Amino acid sequence: MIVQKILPVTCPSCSGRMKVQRLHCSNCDTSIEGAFELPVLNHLNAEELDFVLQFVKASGSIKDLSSLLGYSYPTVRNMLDDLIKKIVQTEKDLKAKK
Amino acid sequence: MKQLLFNPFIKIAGAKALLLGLVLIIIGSVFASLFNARFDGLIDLHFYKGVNVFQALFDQIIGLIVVAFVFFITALILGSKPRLVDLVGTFAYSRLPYVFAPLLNITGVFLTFSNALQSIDPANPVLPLSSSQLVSFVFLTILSIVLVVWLVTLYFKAWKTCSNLKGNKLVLSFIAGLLIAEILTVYLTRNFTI
Repeated sequence: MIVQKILPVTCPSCSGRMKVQRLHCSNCDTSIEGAFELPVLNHLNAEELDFVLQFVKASGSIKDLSSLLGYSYPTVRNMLDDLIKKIVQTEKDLKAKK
Repeated sequence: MKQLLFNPFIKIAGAKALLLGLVLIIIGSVFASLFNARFDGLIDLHFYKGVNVFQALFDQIIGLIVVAFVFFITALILGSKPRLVDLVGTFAYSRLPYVFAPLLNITGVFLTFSNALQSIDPANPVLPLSSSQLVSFVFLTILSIVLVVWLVTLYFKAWKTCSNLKGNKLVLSFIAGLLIAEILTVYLTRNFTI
C-alpha cells in the first residue's frame, strides 16, 4: 500500500511557517543542509493548490473552471480572489522575514 | 436540498439565475393577480381587491431593478467588482419565496380580516370573525413571516456571493442597501401604478 505523504507547510506545534532544512538526492545519496524557504505556492494547503492546478488547466478561464467544478461564476471568482489575497499576504510575510 | 433552498448561488448565478428568476417573477405575478396580492415594496406583500397581473409584474420588476442598482452602487463604493448580470440574476432568483406568498390568501382570509378591521365599531370593538378564521389568520401570518425570513436570507446570500465582502462590512452594507432599496421600491410602486 502506497501512502501519499502531504508536505507539512505549517508547524504542528506553533502553526508557524515551515522551512526546508535538508534536501537529499536519492540518485547519488548527496544531502544538502540549510534553511530554504518553501516556494509561495507550497504555502497553500492541498485544496488551494488543487484549485490553482485546475485553474491553470482551464487556461485561466473562470467560466470554464466554474463549469468544471460545478460552481457558479461568482463563487469561483471569490475562491480566486481569496487565494490571491492569501498569496499576496504570504509574499509580504516572506519578504518581511528576509 | 438545503443548499438549493437557502444558498443556491454557490451553484447558480449569472444568466441562468436571471432566467430562472424571471420565470419565478412571472409565476409569482400570476398568483398575485389570482389571489389579490401586491408586492408593493422589496419585502412587502399586501392584499388588495382586483390586482391585475401587469401591476404585480411591474411591482416585481421595479423591485428587481432597484435592488440590483442599489447593491451594484454599494459594491462599487466598497471596492468590490461584481458582474451586473450576477447581481440581477441572483436577486431575481431570490424572489423564490414570494412565488408562494400570494397563495397565503388562497382562502381570502387576509382580505376578510382587513374588511373586518375596517368595520369595527369603536363603541363596541369586537372583531366580527369566527375563531376558526382567527386561527387560520394567525397561522398564515406566521407562514408569511417565514417567507419573509427566507426571502431576506436569499437576498443576503446573493449579496455575499456577488460582493465577496466579509464580516461587519458585509452585514452593514447589506442592511444599508436593503433599507435604501426598500424605501425606493415602496416609493416607486406606490406612486406609479398601471
